[in-house]
Amino acid sequence: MTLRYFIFLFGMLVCQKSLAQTPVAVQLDEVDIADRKLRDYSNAQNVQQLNDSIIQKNQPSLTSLLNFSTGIYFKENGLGMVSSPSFRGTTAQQTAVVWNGININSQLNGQTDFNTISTSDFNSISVRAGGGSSLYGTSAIGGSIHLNTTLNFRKLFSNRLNVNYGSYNTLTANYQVKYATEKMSFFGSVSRNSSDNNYDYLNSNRTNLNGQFYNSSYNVGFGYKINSRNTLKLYSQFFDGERHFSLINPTDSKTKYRDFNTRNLADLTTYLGNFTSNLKVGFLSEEYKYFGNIAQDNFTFGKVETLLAKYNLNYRINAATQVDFVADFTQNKGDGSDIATEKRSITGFALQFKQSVNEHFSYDWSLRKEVTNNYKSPLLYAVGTVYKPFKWYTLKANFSQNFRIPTFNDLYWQGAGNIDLQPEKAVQGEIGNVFQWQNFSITATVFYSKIKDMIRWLPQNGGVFRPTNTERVSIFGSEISMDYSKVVHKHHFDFHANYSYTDSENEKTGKQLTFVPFHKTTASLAYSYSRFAAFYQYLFNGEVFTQTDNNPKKIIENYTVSNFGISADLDQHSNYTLGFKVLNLWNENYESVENRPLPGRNYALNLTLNF
Amino acid sequence: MKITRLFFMALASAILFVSCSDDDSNTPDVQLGAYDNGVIIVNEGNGAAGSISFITDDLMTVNQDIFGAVNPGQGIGGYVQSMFFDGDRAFIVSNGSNKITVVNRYTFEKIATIETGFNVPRYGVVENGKAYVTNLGSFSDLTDDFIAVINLSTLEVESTIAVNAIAEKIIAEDGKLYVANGTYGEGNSITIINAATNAIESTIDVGISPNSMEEENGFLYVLCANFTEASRLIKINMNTNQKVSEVVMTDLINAQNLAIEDGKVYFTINAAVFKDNLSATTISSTPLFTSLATTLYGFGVEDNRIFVGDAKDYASDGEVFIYSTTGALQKQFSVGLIPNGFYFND
Repeated sequence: MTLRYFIFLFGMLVCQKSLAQTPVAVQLDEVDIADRKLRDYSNAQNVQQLNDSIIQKNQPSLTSLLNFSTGIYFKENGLGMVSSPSFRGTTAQQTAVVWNGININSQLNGQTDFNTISTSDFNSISVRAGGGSSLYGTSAIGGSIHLNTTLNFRKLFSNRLNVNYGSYNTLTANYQVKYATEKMSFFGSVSRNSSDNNYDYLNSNRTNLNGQFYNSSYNVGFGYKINSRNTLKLYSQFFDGERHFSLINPTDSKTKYRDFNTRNLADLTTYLGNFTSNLKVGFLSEEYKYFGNIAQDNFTFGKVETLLAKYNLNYRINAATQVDFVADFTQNKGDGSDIATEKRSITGFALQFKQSVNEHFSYDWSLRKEVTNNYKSPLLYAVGTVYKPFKWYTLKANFSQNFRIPTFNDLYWQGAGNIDLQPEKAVQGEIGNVFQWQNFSITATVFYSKIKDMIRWLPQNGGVFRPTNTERVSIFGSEISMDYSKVVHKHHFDFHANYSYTDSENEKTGKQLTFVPFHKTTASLAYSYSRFAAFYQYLFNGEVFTQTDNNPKKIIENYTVSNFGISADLDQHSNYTLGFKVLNLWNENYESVENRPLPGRNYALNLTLNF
Repeated sequence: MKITRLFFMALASAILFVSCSDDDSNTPDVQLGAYDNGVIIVNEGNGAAGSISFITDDLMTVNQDIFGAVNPGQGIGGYVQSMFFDGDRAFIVSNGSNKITVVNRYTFEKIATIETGFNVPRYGVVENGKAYVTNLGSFSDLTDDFIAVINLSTLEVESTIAVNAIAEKIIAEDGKLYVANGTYGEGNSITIINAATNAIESTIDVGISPNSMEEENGFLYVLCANFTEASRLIKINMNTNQKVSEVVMTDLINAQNLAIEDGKVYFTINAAVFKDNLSATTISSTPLFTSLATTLYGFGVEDNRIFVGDAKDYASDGEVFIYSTTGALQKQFSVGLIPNGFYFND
């Protein structure tokens, strides 16, 4: 099954699917993604694809999307506030976010704030579980999230306007346009989200104070087939947002935070017989401003500009075998009120190989080595095999070494940074079983990983915190997911469920890491009939410890949250669709960080125009 | 829980009754509340909440979160920095929540909260019938610090005093306020303020960052340190506002937590505790002992006991170690998150 198959055939009905085996690349598909590695070198791992329809069902933050559809745990400081993931029991800096093949985790703190990505700007988001540093570099330890801009090279012109209005004066609007011919393709998306975010706390007389936020973003892609051999693609993305940080106690100082991120990438692909040459040049910038007290004008800031160039040469030895050679160069220039102005250059070389031995067995491996003055880079590698003895059963296994490099804050924070830091290193292995019958599939995976040299900021003499390579963590876990779809007399049903168990232990103390639940379950059911559609989403998060000593009194209690939505096409051609959603249907009183309650039952009205 | 609460209330009202009818406050045997005769530990906590622990004088029992036990459903705010006293009242300062909670120091029943007029309040002192609380203001501005002046009858901030320098620790003596203008190795002076007029009387240069102070026999002792230079113990004559002497402690970098007890001076560097004669002109660079603390955070010396608060990794329950003044471990207790200070009800 190819990627194309998913996007076109399943359309509105399918929420999500695991990417099954994909064949060795053929020359440029009609649907093209910049991140070819996701397709070609991920067969031995689980990749869950979240398509347009599931993206649209969720609130437009990456937190909300992934929280309700994957095993990734989120720690959110109140709705829309700072949000950090824990993927397979790892820390927030050990999940990579990859935009069109480029790692976009912050150079300053090493993580992505999942509430600063507007999901409505992307028509395909994939979640790749497990190690990926040999392909995507730093942070791809627990897994990676892939934001892709897909481009179609076939005649097409469509526009979509989607407007949501809901409780707490929450407005989310998105406009998407696609225009394509056989020779060129354009995708553009603009979003605006804002909310007063002043929800009442349940079982309390308090209200969420100072939680208002807004953000604007765009994401565009342009592809042009210069001639039969050369294709040029340009991608650009931009995010500008301001969030007031909600107060824990009503008398806390009011603070706010501004994010301003830009990402630009040019990509030239040349086909020369069995060789495919690809050159990428990119420029990324990230900037934050933190106002410690909104009554005053003072702020602290940090910014990093990144220039990158990446060359990839792919050689198809035969129909079943291919090899990729990669050389890349990245330069980061950081500056800020609390960090020294510094430049960092990293040169990387990588080799990737993939062979389908026969219809039952294939394997791939990849190597990556980085060269920099900053740290000693371990050899990053991954080996994966896929064995499919029967049509209905696939066995996957992979083993990899991954890392997370020290950030600008870790290295250059004034008076505290430690330039002798080394990367965090993680080895991991997993075995996955995929059972697949026509419209039913179950995936069961066990994984184990060992992380060493974890960077932690620890107090030194006089109470100043400095980062050091100290901790070791071992993680054991399992994931089970299930997909089922059924059509009975024009009634379409689609069901997806996911359960994960994660034991993530500090080796020295034997304690579970804070904010890593042992159990998490998600489930969703989508139904449609004629012009009507409905969905139900379910999320269970097990309790988490908030203290490293696992004090049983200092926990976040488990919680169960469900959402429900209905929609109807107002005309036969689905040009107008009206929808209504109830979020937190059962009015659960819950929080994911202590004293940061999340909203009770709330509502949203949605109108989609296709023209 | 309910029984405990009722017990506290019964106890508290009994004590109130007793103390009302008893004019002689020096009576040594009257227990003024459940938390009389013991050590109060301030646990800084996190942005959501700090807490107060209590250890009885006989070192037999520890009570956690005593404010929460007596005042259910209420909190003292996040990042609880310190506490100061006015007679029977204790003022608990939360710098994260810009709030002071006023309680009875012996029963811990809440009397009032003061929630306006602060901007990251740090330390306080009572003098001249008023409370004076230092405020850090913006973290990135070292000159916007001020003192909030609290009317002790209305419990409202009635005025402010601009310090034009860092304002951290504060002590009062004979109508004068002494404000240490130092934090984390920054700052290098002491500001002296006339409490009657709120006017800055003088500023004394102490060379490097003052981190702790004690008054003893008309002299102000100031411990000054940063992360690179030899620490200094400076002696100031409180009548003349003049620096009298200075002991430069060669080889002792970043000394913290000055305490003076029975003619001896105590301070800490990392987990090590140092002790010498207050009158010494050189201070030995050999510690009295090295405590068991992973992260020595709170420190106090009282009644021949040395109290060490261990913040550990700042994300686990803290520990309090109690030593004799020769450094023998007497007892240890698990307390709340990040114990930063010791106060004594005796």
